[in-house]
Amino acid sequence: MRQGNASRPPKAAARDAAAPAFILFTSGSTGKPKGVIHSHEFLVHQADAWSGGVPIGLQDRVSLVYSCAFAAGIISTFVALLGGASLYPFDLRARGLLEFSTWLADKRISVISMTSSLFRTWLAAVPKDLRYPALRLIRNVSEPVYSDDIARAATHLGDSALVSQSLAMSEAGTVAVHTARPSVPRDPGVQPVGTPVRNMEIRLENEDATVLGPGEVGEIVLRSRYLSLGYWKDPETTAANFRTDPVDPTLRLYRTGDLGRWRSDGDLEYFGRRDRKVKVRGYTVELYEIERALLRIPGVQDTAVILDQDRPQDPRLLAYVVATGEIALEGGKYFRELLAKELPAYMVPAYVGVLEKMPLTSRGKVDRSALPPPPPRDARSENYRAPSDEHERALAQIWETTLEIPEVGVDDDFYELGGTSLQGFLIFTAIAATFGHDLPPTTMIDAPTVAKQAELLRDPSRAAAPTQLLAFRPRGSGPPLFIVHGAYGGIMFVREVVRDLKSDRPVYGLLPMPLDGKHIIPRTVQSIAAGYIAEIRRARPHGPYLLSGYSSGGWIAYEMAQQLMQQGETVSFLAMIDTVSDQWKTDANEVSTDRVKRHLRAVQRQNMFRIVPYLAKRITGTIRHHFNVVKRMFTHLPNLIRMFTGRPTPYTERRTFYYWLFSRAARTYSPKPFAGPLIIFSSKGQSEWHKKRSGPLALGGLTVKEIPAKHLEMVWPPYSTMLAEAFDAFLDPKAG
Amino acid sequence: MLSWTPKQAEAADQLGSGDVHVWDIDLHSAPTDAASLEMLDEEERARAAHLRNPLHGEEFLRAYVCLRILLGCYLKVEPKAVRFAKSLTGQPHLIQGAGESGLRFSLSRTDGRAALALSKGRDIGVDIERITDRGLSDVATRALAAPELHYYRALPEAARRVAFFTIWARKEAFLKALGEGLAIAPVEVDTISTGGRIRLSKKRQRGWRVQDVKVADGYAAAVVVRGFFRPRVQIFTFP
Repeated sequence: MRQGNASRPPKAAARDAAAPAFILFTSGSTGKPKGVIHSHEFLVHQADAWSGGVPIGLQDRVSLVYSCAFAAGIISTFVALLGGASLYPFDLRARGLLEFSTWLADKRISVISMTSSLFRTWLAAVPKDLRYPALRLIRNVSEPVYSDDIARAATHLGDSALVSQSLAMSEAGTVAVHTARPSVPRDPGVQPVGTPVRNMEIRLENEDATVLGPGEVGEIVLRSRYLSLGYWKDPETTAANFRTDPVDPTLRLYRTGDLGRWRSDGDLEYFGRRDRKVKVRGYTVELYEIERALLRIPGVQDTAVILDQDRPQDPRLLAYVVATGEIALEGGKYFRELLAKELPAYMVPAYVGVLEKMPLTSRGKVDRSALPPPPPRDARSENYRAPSDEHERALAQIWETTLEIPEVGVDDDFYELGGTSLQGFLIFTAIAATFGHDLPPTTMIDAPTVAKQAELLRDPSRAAAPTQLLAFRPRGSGPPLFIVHGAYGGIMFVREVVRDLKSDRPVYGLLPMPLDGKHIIPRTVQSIAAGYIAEIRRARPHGPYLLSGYSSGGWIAYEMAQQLMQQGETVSFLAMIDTVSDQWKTDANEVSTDRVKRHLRAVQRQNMFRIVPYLAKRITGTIRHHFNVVKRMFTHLPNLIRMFTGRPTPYTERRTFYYWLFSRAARTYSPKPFAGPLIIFSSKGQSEWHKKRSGPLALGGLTVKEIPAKHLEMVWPPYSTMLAEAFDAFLDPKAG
Repeated sequence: MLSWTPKQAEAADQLGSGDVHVWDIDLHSAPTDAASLEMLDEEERARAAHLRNPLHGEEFLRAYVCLRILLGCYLKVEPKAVRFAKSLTGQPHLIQGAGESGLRFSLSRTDGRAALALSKGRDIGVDIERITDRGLSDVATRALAAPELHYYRALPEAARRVAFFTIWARKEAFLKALGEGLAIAPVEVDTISTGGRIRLSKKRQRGWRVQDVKVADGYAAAVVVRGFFRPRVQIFTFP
């Protein structure tokens, strides 16, 4: 009991049972002590409530392990003295738990009151065969009690002993108690705190002050005559928490700020402070829900979940568990995986620490400040590789600050780390500031890792000269696979295919030549292929070569194979991904005499009266056809000009231009038969057609593998997986 | 059949050829029940699983649930039946049968929030950014085109942060509408000097319209749509 500076001692014995008897200072959740004023009649009420109706009499020896400055200490003292029992103080901090265990037996203590955390640590310290025949009541308070604790206590107690768990608080003393023999069967996990004590009504209310029934979680509101008189010199907080009952003015109401739930059997479950509701990335999280999920894991004895505010804009959840048995050897990851099955991702703690025992404060509550500090913000990826040189270290640092992720590994992919365009841009800004030269923003597409970007920074010539080769997989033991872009010039699908490709070899994508006005734009498949060969020889000077191409890019790969073989190289693999054969050519090859004959035959077959409309239709058709040719010439005039002059193409026109250019090149390309085996990955339903058209070209045999998707979809997920499987089957036929 | 809210159904009926609808989605309140997650296809789940931070994965899933619900509502099909294909630059677009509505959409996701823009037959791009408190001075000079930088520097210190993220959202929305990623340097895109239009490399782009979208506090968003006339932009809050 703290007095003196806070309150004047009473001048005489109390004249009124409802007058203030003492002021109790609590630490308060904010750290600023609050003085809780209690009346004389409060103490008398507690004498009965404290033990949950179990009478405390002359024969009892009550232990006192807490200072009288705490509610637990002062109330125990008065309860013992009012009942006529003897009080046995014990200084736990000075003498320790082991001595406490034997002291309890020596002094034949019959009643102990302690926090459940202390109860648990004490049980762990009690010598196995020590019995307490005199002990008839163990009173647990403040924190959750688990069925395992009680079962363990039972081995040290006599048959008639009782164990109680109660809900108590500085402002109202003990308000609910559950008392039972330890041998009575009970639900596993956290034990309920029982039913209200005499002269105490407990209500559960939601935020709208609606009274809740069983099964719903709400704030615990007390209605009684024996509540605290209020806070010392703090009328505002007093008014906020206490008010007079509107029905019976002799009673008052107290909003506890604690959460509870009625079970269907009438017992109250206690869920902890309401202010333990926290916000994590905008999601509201009740910490007790996480604690309960942890406690449901068999072997978990005790747990504490806290919010780590070291970075206030991005707080994270930390959990600590005390576990017994085999799972005590498991790491935090084990618990996180189990939680992830039960809870949404935002409720899974970023870290779970496994402790031997919970650190406790002098009041016997979990000492949150003494919990071991968590590791630096976590989530190293599974294949984490640490930066190994100055470039990588500096880059990793830039990535970590920009993406707000600790420990970025050098092989971590920017997009899988959740990077956005803006963050990508910020990274390049920081790179420019740190290294003094710019990487083009497109770097994030072909070099999405710290390692790849460091490589570019070590050898600036590579970064400066835009290359047409994109290393989608830079490492591997076999010879590399080269994949040529599709008709629109796009190559990003290779990223999806490579993700599922098992074949152990590097994979490069070939980009079309840039349209920056500085490069000559080749017009034919032959000249395009010649340029690409120069590109792939930079990565791999000599064969054997493995080539592939998507859509009209297939013809470029085909032509590259031809040219490479003429240059004396080996081409061990050639696959075209749904490359359309030159269907336009058949009509163009039809000589004009044939066409006249065809029309004459058609005219002959017609009825006399139909000839005129038939001819009219043909003639308008021809006119329309030629009109379209002229129109197309005009629409493609800018493309033609660009192609012949090499002027730069605006970004917005790039894809149309590439499409025009590559379609045009493919249309005018006459493939010569290929000496080696040819593979075609066909789109849905096109296998037969491919066999018919391309069969004659493949002197070394044609294999067609059908992917059940349309032309545009077959290279993207989910079909990219099938395409990767198809590649694997042909690249490493033995492995399959 | 999933029943849409009256607001959603009404909005879907109202979308005309000159309209742009933008849905402002709070991902914290997006549905995550098992039935909703059933709507997603394997690829979407796989992409969520590939994200290293499980929170990103979770928000990705939530965003796609909302996307499917809303697209389903506009197309009058079940959310699960909405089918996407990837364009050659990897952006998702709708697979629609012949004679169907020609609905175009763009989805943008940031921490805790998403924006979905819809139009009939017009190329569209939307971007939403969370306004963070990172240092911006060096970034602004690199990201903003000259007229934008001039405007930005003329603003009082307190107004600059929101302005930067708004301008960035416009640029990003334009690049998305074009179907380009980082291929165009943001500094080449000027969203300020032509009043609702865009200049790319100092050339006026007549065919594009840009408009800011008012979303929840702490976020900036903009939408860009192809077309000569100013679109009528309506903003809805999900659900």
